[in-house]
Amino acid sequence: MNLKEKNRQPEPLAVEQLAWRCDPAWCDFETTHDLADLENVLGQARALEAIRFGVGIRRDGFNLFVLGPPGMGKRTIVRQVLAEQAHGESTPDDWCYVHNFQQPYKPRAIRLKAGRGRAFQSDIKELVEDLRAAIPAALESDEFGQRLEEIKHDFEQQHNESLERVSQSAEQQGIRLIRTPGGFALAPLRDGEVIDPEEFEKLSEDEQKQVQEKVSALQEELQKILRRVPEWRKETVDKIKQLKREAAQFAIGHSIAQVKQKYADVPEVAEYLNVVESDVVEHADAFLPAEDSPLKMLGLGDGDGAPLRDYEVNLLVDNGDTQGAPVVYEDFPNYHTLIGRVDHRSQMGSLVTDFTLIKAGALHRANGGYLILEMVKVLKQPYAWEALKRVLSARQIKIESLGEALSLVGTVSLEPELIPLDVKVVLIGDRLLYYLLHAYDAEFPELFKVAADFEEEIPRNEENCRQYAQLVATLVRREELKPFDRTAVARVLEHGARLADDSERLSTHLHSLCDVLREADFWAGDAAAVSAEHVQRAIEQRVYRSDRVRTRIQEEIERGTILIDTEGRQVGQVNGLSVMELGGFRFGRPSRITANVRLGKGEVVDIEREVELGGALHSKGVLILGSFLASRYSREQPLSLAASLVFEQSYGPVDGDSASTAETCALLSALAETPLMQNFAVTGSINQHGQVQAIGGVNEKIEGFFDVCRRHGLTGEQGVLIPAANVKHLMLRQDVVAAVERGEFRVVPLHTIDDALTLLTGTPAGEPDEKGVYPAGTVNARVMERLDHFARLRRQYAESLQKGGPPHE
Amino acid sequence: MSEHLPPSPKDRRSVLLVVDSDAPPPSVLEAAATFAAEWQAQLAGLFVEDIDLLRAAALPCSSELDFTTAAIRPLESFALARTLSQRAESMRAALAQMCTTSRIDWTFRISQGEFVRETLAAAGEAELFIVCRASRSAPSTGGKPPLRPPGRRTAPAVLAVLDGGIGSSRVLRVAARLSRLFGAPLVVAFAASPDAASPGAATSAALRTACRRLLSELKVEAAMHDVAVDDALQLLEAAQRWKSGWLVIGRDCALLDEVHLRRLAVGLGHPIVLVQTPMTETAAEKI
Repeated sequence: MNLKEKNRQPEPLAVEQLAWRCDPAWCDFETTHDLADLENVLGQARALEAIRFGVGIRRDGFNLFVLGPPGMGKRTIVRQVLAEQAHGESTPDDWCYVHNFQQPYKPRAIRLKAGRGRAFQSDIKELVEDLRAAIPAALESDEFGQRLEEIKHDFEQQHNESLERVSQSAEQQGIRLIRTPGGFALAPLRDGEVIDPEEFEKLSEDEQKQVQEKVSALQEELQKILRRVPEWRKETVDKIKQLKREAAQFAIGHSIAQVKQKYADVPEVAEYLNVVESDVVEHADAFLPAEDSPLKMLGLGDGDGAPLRDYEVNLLVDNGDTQGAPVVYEDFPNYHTLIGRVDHRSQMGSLVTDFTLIKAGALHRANGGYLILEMVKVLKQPYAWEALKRVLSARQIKIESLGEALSLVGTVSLEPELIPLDVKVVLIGDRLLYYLLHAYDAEFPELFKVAADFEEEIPRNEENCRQYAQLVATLVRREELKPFDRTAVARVLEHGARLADDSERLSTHLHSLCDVLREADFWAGDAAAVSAEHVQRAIEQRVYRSDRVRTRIQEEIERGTILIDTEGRQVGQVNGLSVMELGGFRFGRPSRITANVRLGKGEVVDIEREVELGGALHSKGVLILGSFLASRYSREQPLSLAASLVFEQSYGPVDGDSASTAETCALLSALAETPLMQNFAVTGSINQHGQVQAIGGVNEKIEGFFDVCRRHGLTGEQGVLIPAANVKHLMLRQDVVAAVERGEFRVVPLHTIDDALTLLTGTPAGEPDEKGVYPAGTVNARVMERLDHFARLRRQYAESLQKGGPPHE
Repeated sequence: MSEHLPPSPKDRRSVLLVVDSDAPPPSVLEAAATFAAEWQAQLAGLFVEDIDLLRAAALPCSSELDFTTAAIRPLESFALARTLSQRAESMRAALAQMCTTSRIDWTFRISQGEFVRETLAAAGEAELFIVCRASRSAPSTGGKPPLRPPGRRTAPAVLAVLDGGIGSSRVLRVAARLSRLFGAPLVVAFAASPDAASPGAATSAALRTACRRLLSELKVEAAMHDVAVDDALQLLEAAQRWKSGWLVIGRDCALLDEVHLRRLAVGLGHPIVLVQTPMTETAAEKI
């Protein structure tokens, strides 16, 4: 930059520099009816290419993270792209869980072609119904009953005949076999009756001994028989079981063979049906009517049919109606909705479960396709993120309760067979989350290798404006709004630039845009089409609904409660500008910045920082300010001042360096003892060379000071000094632009601090000559003089201290 | 021992239920109560304490073989008496409940002696007496049955033994009633002496015809067999052959002397229903 330009009085900006105005004549359509839908996604070429790449590449870890601020329409766009992609892909298989007859706590997973799962479930249900009729018919038939009775009779006959033989043998030996309440006794006879005990006593010892020996021998024989009873009973039970097996096998053979034939091409099903067949034959009783079920008698209703639950098919994933690959969006991605869960049912006061209570998670439903999740929701749910990472790393889904996963409970539960996972996960989140995860979660970069970064703005060129108009037309049709005429579209485009805070760019924040369209449609009432007037009203009403706090602040400034001068001159005082954001509404607020100087050791005290209300960036701005002072004015002598800077009537945190230009002006004014015009407000940061740099929220800041001036009365002298680098960002309100056009307000660009000093003091800032001396009477010269004065004072003070007396001028 | 019930008139009909050391199965009580109710008869329960058992228990060094363990253990008179007393009380309680529910007059007593002899002595003028003696078969030891109880059609058969005597009609009616009550198949055996020149000849044919007519009236189906029986053993074999669960026979049947009845009571393992022969043959009772 040419130093000679420094002290040239900066010229106010022309009206056309204050905002871009879209001429409706540019539009070659009458209303949005005439525009075709926008086929592409506006301004998101990079993100779209990334998404298509991420979707197309079938490699481990190439999942997607779609990042960008909320409201960009990321989810809708991702869904559209995935739906297009998924449509041409093959439909994944169905998954069923069935009972594991060998290990009941480990249900088996069966994979079937899409649509066959439902048929399989239905076929098995029908089979069980058939068996419920066929098996009772077989086991309650006359023939079966007859054979059963024969077996029982054979057992009883075998038993009775053995006892009869002993009985006859005993009778022949004069002994009787007598049935007792608990068994058998053997007693000697006399005259066909058991001998009377007294008569038995009369027998000789030999006779008694002989009797005893006979009894003992018979007892042994009897014992042998009784000891064989369990063996006979087991043989009988085995015979009955075998009979039952044969009957059941015969009864079910035809039905089960039909199902086997149907699924002969699926080895897992064929194997399962073989096991089912064996189990049905073994447990044919379960198919008999459970008339005496205790649960049924208690009215709990779970008795009937409960044993047959083992033969049900739990159709976990049914892709029968799915066209192409599934695209699943999980709105509530917690641990269980992601990986599935095992439910329990209450039974007699206990919680029980079985494989029929296994429920699919979003990962099951999306298996073979795509799963869309919002990252912030995943992170909000305990352990959901860890579970998702684990599943993606393992490439298989393991369903276990959170209690089991964390080893909090030790109860026996189900361990369903793992299901292989082939899914593309698309996470949607804001940039901060992406960067934090990338920095602090080592697994994240391995699992989400593709980032699709959504642009918030697009360049404002003719092609993009044309597409923007098409986007408006598309949204209007999608939302079923009235058509927007060309003036309305032009106003929407202008609003798009304002949302972008840049006259050369357009915002792609679809939610904000859509909201304005909807509200404009509302304000259009019965009009045939929405016009610029309606759009403007929508914009103003949105502001009006949100600006209560802004209005109150401005009222208090007008009433003199908050001290802001908009005319006159003051030493060491300048109007600074800050931006407040409340509930998504941003507005500018003027603040009085004052500076005091005194003899010191070169300290610039930032009072905001001292009381811990100043943020790091603000402190940085003040430190740069101090450095600028020292480098410009005290190159060859110590900076012998102490200065204090403060945001007056500021009771909350202050951050950012956008006030550093204003603070420098206030400080130099105090040093030079030169008053500053209060009809200006200043914004901009400075560097160590005194250059004014761009800041954010320039539109809100200008409008904030304009509103205060308007309340005080516009004089034509008032205005805002802004960094020249911010001129391109100007998209000021129509009323501000109109006031400038009438000569009632000014916006002046600054390149250096000297530009600001020249404008604010009405005195040239002054340029140093070859020796670094500023011309007399300039602001800089006065600053130098004052600093020299402080330096002399300081030296005198030091000398007098050495001599032991007070310092004198 | 008798319940303190009002004495029944002498001409009052009665049904006698005789049991020994085992409590009768519920089906036996039900059958007895059914007949007593339908005939408006008194139900008399008799619990016989077998004298042979009591004497055996009183013998020195008497012992008992346990059913379930086959272990030998002392058989003590005192313990036996207590057990029998408990069983008798159980039977009395069961009888009281059944009869109170069905509004049937009832008596109950305990006697001591030889089972068949006591039974016959107590029979008196009872219209029907059901003899239910403890089986020699091993009792059920609990646990899960090998198969759920068979349906009604697989209930053990009711075996009616008809000898063409004066009481045959009543025997058949009682057997038919039992068959209907328990859904059990009815088997009719026409008994003839093996010594007869041609068992099942003219007499048997007439008997069959009359039997079919009566069964038709009663709307009961039955399998009919000719059987040559001369003693209890042959009757036992017949019962086993047809897998009977009940034996219904006329009190005046020649086979039912004391000796044969004893063999049947011990060997059958299921109840025997003895039907008293009417004093006078009426047209309705004659087959």
